[in-house]
Amino acid sequence: MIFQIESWDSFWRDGQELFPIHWQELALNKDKISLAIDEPRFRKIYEDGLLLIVGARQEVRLVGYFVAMILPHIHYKDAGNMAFTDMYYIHPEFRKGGAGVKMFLAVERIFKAKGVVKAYISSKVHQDNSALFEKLGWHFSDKSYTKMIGA
Amino acid sequence: MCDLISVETNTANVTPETKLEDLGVDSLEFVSLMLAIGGQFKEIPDSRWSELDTVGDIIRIIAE
Repeated sequence: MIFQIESWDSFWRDGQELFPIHWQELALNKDKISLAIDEPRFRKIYEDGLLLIVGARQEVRLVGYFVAMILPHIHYKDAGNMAFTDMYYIHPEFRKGGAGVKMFLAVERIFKAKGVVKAYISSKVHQDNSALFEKLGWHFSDKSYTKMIGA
Repeated sequence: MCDLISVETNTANVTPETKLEDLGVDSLEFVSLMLAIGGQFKEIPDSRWSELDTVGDIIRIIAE
């Protein structure tokens, strides 16, 4: 398996198989919120140079990805680039041999090359990756909540 | 090395040809395995973990 920076076009094209699988496995409130990726808005963020996409490929097949926005934090604009993770996923059939940790380490090397000084990531409570994050040196710093308004 | 990996991953018949993906370990277990190897043999820096596809790769890097 290799890990490489992807263009928006290659990611969008080759990710079509993975997006619904990812959503099905991880999304909350699926009965009320359907998957509907805003491709033009994502593309604009990519074209503005703010989106990092790292793909995991088994030969030519895209089997996973890590997507983050890279830009200065709006509160700390002089601190350097920070990485705000949007999503990460590896197809269940390819989560072997440490694929996930290898992807995270590859992403971290890319972060460093892009001048990222701090990165943010989260994990769903129902698929908690905290133990892995902490083994990789991430620090548990926040708790976040969601609520369906008016439900 | 093969014995250590066999015990750590609860996998029988581990040989240098055994692929890491066939050990049935998830990423957290993989990190734990790397830590166990580092404790008993020599640490493999995480910058080289992407080179590890087989048990033989682990043996080769440890021997360097």
